[in-house]
Amino acid sequence: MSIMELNGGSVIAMVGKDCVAIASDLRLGNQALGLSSNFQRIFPVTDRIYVGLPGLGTDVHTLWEKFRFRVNMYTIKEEREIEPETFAHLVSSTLYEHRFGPYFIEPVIAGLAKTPSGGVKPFIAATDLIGCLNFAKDFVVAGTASSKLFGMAEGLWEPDLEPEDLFETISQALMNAVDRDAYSGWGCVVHVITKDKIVTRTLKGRMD
Amino acid sequence: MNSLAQRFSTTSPLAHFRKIQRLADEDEDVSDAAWGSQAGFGSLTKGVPTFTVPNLPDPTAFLRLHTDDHADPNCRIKIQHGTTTLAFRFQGGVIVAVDSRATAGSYVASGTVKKVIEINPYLLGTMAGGAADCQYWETYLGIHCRLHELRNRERISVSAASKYLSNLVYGYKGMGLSMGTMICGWDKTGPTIFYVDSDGTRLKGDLFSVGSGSTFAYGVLDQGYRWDLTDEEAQELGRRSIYAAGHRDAFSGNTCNLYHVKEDGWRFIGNFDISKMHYEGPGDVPGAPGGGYGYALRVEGKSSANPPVAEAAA
Amino acid sequence: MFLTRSEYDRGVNTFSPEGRLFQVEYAIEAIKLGSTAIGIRTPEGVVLAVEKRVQSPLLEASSIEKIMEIDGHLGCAMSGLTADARTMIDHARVTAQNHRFTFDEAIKVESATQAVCDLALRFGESVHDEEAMMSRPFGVALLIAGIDEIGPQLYHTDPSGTFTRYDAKAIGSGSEAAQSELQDKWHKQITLKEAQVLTLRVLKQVMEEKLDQHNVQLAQVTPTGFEILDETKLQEVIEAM
Repeated sequence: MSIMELNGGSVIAMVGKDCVAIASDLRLGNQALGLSSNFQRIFPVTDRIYVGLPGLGTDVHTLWEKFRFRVNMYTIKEEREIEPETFAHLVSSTLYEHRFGPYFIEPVIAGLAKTPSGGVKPFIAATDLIGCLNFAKDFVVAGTASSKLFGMAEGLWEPDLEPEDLFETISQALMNAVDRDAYSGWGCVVHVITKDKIVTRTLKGRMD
Repeated sequence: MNSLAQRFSTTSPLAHFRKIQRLADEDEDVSDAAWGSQAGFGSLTKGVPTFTVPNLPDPTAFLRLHTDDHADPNCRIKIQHGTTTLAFRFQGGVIVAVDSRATAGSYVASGTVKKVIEINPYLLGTMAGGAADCQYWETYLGIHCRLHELRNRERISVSAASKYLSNLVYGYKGMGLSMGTMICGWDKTGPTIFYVDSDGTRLKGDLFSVGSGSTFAYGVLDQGYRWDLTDEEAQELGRRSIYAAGHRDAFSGNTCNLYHVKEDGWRFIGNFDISKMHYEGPGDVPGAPGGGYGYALRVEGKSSANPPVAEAAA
Repeated sequence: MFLTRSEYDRGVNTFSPEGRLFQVEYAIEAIKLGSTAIGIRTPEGVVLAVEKRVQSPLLEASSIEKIMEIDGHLGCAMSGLTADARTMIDHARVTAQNHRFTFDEAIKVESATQAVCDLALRFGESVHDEEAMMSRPFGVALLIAGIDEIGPQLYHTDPSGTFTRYDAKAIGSGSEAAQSELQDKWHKQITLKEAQVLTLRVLKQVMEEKLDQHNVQLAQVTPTGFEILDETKLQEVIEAM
């Protein structure tokens, strides 16, 4: 029995044209037994940054509270909102503090960074459970369905997708991947982050 | 000590395999197939097919070390165990219902597996454990049921068929066979179910469920079971039980295959999508209550803790 | 040492100087003592008919079984030492079922016949240094009827392991007269009904007793499968004669 597969769950993030999307399933289980179909594992860090925390259920809560504390301290001290890339490094160093007794979480970060010219630049990243950062230009995946998500994303993703097309792409990738994973599923939530707004949709998924 | 005794015994499965090994060595260049016939010598045909076995002093110990066994979860060769199958006997015959998911680890390898094996028009077998083991031995059972029919001008009883299977797999005990099956049918004694597994267990009973999702299926089944169920009620109970298991158990799901065995043989009732049953119900079929089976759907709007989904979103 | 003919008679696996296997020839003779059996192939299916010798009024005629099912699409009529036929038919049944098990399809009529003939040749043969299991040739001839992808077929096998395909064939004591009668009456467009009547007519001519529904057995293989005609159906055919 792997601790990473105890509760199940998966997260994916994708880059679009001036937008990013992050999505996850809603299942929380105890090994084969499904317990909940509305378990939140994606959290808003700022108005433009979301973090997904697939892995051990108890650590999802602990780690999210830790990030919330540190981001609040950053905001107060620096008197500015944290940038996605800075947050990614915060995640990485927080996880590495526990190098010899890690949190069993592989975070996924998605956000829009500010550019000097006043525009936005999509940003996504993922780390392993001890904080090794992986910046990607297209998509990142994590969780029990990661191998299946890689396959779906590899096949469906294309550059410069508009927000609505990005939503369709990430939804199809996630829904079809979790249908092939025993530990993920039971519905999905998708967030599409654009310059002006964030669109959150809850999707009905297979319930088996 | 025990293994030493077994080593020199002539009746143990090991001795059986030694004999097969010996014969296979001698027979290599003149197999039965070379004679253009696979039936062996006259009516003195071999009782069981022969297999190649590891060429070691103790093949059973070797296989126990490397193949799947529920007693040892750390073995090398893994066989899919995720399944829900059930069968129950009632006034109107036998209901057989199974899911259709096959998993390899956490990977859902297939969602369209046929876990009911149609042995002949009067006998059904269910599949849990090793898919190949179940498929091979239950088909093999099928040919012997047919030969019984030809030789004795009478259909084999469910009891005899299941005993044939259990004796057969007992001969391979400890060699890694993995199967948990229910042999269901209607014979002179009426509707009958036997549970047979690869340990050699054979049980007669009214109600069985086998597989990783069996606990969930039993929950619904035990609650709704009566002998005097109508055909429609019984079919609905089988379907509803598989839904419950498919919903809660990660290794069961996708669809439910439903069979009904009556006096004139079995009948395939239908294939039902488990997710569709959750949201909309099984469709327009006899016995269905109308509406989805899903828990959230049934409690929606009934308390402040469960506001209607549409309202919550607004 | 010179061996007389009677000495060559003894060994089942010794040729005589003239190149004959006497035991096999005698086995073929044994069939000529058997009751008559007839098979007719038609475009609709194959008909098999046998005479049952009811030697005593106390004999239960229904217990004489000279037509047997090999598989759903294969039937068999016999003449000669019928006890030997049981071994052969069981062999054919197992072969047919093994074929279904391995290939999930019905065995071809020719393959089933071939399997029976392979067995017929295995007399005097020893396996794994053990005693030979079959000490003499089978004393029986078979008419194997069946349907496969080629269509309805009728095969004849004899104790030498030879098999041949026929449109119509008679075996047993009345076979000579019956065969010439079949040669006269058989034609390409013969219907199943006509064939049923023809088999009984020919049997009637060669039988010593008066033909009735108790001393003949009639069976057919059609696309719906093998079927031994029950007494009422048999009665209908007899009345149509």
